[in-house]
Amino acid sequence: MIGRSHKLTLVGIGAITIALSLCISSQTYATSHEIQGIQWYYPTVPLYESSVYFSNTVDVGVNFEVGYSPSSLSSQDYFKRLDVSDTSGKPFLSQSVYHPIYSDGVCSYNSIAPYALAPMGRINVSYNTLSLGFPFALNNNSGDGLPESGSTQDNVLKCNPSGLIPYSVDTSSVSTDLKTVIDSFNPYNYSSNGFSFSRRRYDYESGEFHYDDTFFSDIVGFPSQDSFSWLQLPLYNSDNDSISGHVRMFSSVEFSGKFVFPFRVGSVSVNPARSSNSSFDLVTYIINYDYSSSIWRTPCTTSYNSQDQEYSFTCLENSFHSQYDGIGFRAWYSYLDITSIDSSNNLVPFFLNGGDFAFEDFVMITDGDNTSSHPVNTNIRGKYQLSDISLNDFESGFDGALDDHWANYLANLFTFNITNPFSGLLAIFSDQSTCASIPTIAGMIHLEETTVCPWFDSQTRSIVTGVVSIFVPMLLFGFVIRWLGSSSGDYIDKGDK
Amino acid sequence: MLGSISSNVISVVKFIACILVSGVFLVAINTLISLVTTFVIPPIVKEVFDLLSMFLPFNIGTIMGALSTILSAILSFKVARKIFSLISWTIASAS
Repeated sequence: MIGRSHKLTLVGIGAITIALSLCISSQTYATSHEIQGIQWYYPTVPLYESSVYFSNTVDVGVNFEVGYSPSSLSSQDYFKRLDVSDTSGKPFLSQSVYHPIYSDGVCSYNSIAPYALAPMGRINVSYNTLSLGFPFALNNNSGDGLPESGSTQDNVLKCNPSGLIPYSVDTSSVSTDLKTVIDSFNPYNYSSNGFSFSRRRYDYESGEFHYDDTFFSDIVGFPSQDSFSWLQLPLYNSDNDSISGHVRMFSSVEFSGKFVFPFRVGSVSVNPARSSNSSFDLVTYIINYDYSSSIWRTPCTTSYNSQDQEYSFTCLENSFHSQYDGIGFRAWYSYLDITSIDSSNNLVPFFLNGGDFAFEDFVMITDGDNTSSHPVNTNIRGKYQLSDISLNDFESGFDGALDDHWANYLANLFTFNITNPFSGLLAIFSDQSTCASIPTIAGMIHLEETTVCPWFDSQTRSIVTGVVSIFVPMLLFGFVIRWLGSSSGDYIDKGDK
Repeated sequence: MLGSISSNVISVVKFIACILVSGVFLVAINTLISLVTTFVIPPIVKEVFDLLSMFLPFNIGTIMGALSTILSAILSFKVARKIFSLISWTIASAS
């Protein structure tokens, strides 16, 4: 039996429990939400106002990390092999690229490789355990694809981003073999500013490829030498298709292994009123295919603004973080006579949170009737909104950024904020009707919607949450204390004796 | 009479000290629980609670926060009582 004093003590404890239960700290929970992960900032491919011409691009790429210890380095580690072939297995790119990716200890290396795809082409990327490949990393700063003389330390012993993703492609410095391969694959090659890919379009009706250089003549452009850029994937357009007045474009890429698989598509608006063709059509499909679950995902939407008479499509999902062994990507585009483009210039680069690269963008608007090309805005650094790592990190060799990364990681272990125990007092009276984000679960079950909102109204939830938040701890810990008190006799007042 | 007053003053000081110490421990323990929760509980648990809270008339996350707070409160209460008893023992021994 519990004596009167014990009962009073229990009542006191209960009162304190009630009072402190008001100090509900949801912060305990919020902090667990902050887990390292890859976060993608959704970029928009800049498409610029141009007179009558349209360029649509899609970038795809792989992202991975490699790391090795200094003792395992050998000369061949520096060479990355890339094999790219089309669906028939015919290689059209095969190149070993010097690629210093070593830093002290483990060099976390992320690379997003853009690919320019031919319709129905398949890019197979193969790499060994210490290397990787991507098609356009042909040069480093020196432009010869080899480490610069006299700066071995800089090139080898650091994760030098200028050596990581040198997209400055100059055909004059491309090896003869590679040029041959490219030229052989691309019968309509245009190489004044680099090289481009063939304008092959796939005719779904006939099941054949047609070479077409009348519309997107020179899509693939290359930026200035010191910039990091996405190369643009041309998707093929035709307004003279013999079947239905439009042709569906198809590009695909398949990878094996576990990748972060980003892609991005521009936000495009077109005005049919300014179109020279009265029958305007714009259909956009961007589809992710998850091989493990055989689910197609369509993150892109198409809309029509009746007021402005503008069609637009936007792809908000730009990456597919693959947890599986295979991931594929396909895109179909269908256009007819797109005569003007309203675009936004708020370019946001890809950026890996905790990772490591951002990329400048590059767009080349092409003239459908003229074979000349119009490189647009190849220097857009000022528009970047990098949060953690700036382009200076790239220019400075990125080693500092990596050091900062690990330093921050270690520092975070010993740096924390003291949670306010009374913040729960406010939390209990806060609005309980806010929607919650469930990106992890949504990704697991392939939900398009990653936000869940409560079914009950705000008033009900606010009241019930407060009541339950008080009484559940009361009951639970009340029984616990009661149990402790009864098992140890005069447990409660022991301290006073 | 004077002894009774001094005893009361000492008791008040002890109570104040106990309250202050328990407050400090409340914050400390609450912070420690937060840290442990951060590393132990995966983030998906929060998402599961959010998902469950979607069709419940209350927020599970808030309740779980209440539980952790009460846990820290009880622990700090026990610590405070222990300190209180130690102070009493020390004062009694000194006198």
